[in-house]
Amino acid sequence: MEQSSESRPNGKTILIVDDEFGVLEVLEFILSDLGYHVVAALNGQEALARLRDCAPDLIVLDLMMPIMDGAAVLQTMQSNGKYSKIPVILTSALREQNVKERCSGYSLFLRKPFKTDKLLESIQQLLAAAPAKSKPEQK
Amino acid sequence: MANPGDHKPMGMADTIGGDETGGQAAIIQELRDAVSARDDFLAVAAHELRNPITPIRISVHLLRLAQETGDQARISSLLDRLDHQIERFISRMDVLLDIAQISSNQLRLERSEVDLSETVKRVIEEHQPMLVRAGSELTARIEDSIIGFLDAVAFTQIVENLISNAIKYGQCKPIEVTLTSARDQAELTVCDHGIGIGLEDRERIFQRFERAVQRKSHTGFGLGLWVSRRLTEAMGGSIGVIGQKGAGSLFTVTLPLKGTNR
Ligand SMILES: Nc1ncnc2c1ncn2[C@@H]1O[C@H](COP(=O)(O)OP(=O)(O)OP(=O)(O)O)[C@@H](O)[C@H]1O
Ligand SMILES: [Mg+2]
Repeated sequence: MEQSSESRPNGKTILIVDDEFGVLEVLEFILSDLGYHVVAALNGQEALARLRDCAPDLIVLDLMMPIMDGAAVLQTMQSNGKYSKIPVILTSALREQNVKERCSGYSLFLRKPFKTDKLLESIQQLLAAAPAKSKPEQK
Repeated sequence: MANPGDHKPMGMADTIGGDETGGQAAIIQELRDAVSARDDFLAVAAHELRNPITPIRISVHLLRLAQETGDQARISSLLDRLDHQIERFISRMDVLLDIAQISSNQLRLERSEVDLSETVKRVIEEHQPMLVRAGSELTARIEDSIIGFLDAVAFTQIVENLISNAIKYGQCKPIEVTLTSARDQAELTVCDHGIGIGLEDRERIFQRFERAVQRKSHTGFGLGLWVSRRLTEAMGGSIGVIGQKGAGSLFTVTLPLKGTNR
């Protein structure tokens, strides 16, 4: 199942965080099919743990989740220099204006249910624009 | 506690007879709370309707791509997945129907001989993918062939609610489920080791739209336990929780097997 690192677009790792099982399942499917290395988390608390051990290049983050929500994840990321530069695509069924009232620090917002093309395009653009990872790239 | 699960203005008549100004203030506050609970619920319902459409929409995208390549095997596996996603969406939406029925006291039980043991096993089986994803290990100790004269759909729903909560709030820790019977009563327990519930929230979480955690960070209708309690009580049983904040929760449902309506 694991793809070889050559077939991954630049070996990029994407962390997806969503409490909706179906969303995780299908995003994992589509992104790993495109050659990304995908790591998934079901809530904010788990996301922070994955953030520490997988050093993602980009995060697709849901806002409303049990235990710890997306706003708290963003807050933690901003207060930590190691994570504050990682691009975050924030997703929610809420309208963007309501989302803005709750949190800041994300790169881009996509309202659910988003168009798949739009998500994939945004991922590519953000990854292309992102500064190279500070830690030396292995593999 | 006359009516733990209800926001309807039943208790208000009592207040009217009492101390005038205090009573009126209380009524106004109660109405305000009811309106705000309803508004919150509408917001949550709108969210809950949009959110699960996301995987459905992505599947349609994948199907389009597969159609271009003409890969029949892939198309059919994607169609299966789509079907499953729609199934999940429907069962989520059915909760809204239940609410409407329960609220207007039109809940009708359809009793039949139900194999509770099989039902619990099946629900656990259906949650396997979610358990794997959450990394929670579920151990079940289920006595064989416990048969009850109950409403099959209602019983299934109660089990589903408790197990999905255990996964949702269980912080990836182990979950234990037991089903036993004694003296014409069945007892179902669902125990997790997650965030737990503070003493002050133990009654509140069974109410309509109520949650122990702060409102804005939740997902879900906040109705699973309210529905579960209503269904359990309608079948003559009871439901309760023990546990401590930070130390997990143990939910226990007791149901008479021989069918007595409340
Ligand atoms: N196993 C559990 N551990 C800790 N808290 C729980 C547990 N189960 C329920 N709760 C608390 O009780 C609240 C009400 O639960 P309930 O199942 O009614 O609603 P919900 O899970 O928020 O939404 P849904 O309607 O989708 O089930 C939850 O929001 C949560 O705060
Ligand atoms: Mg629930």
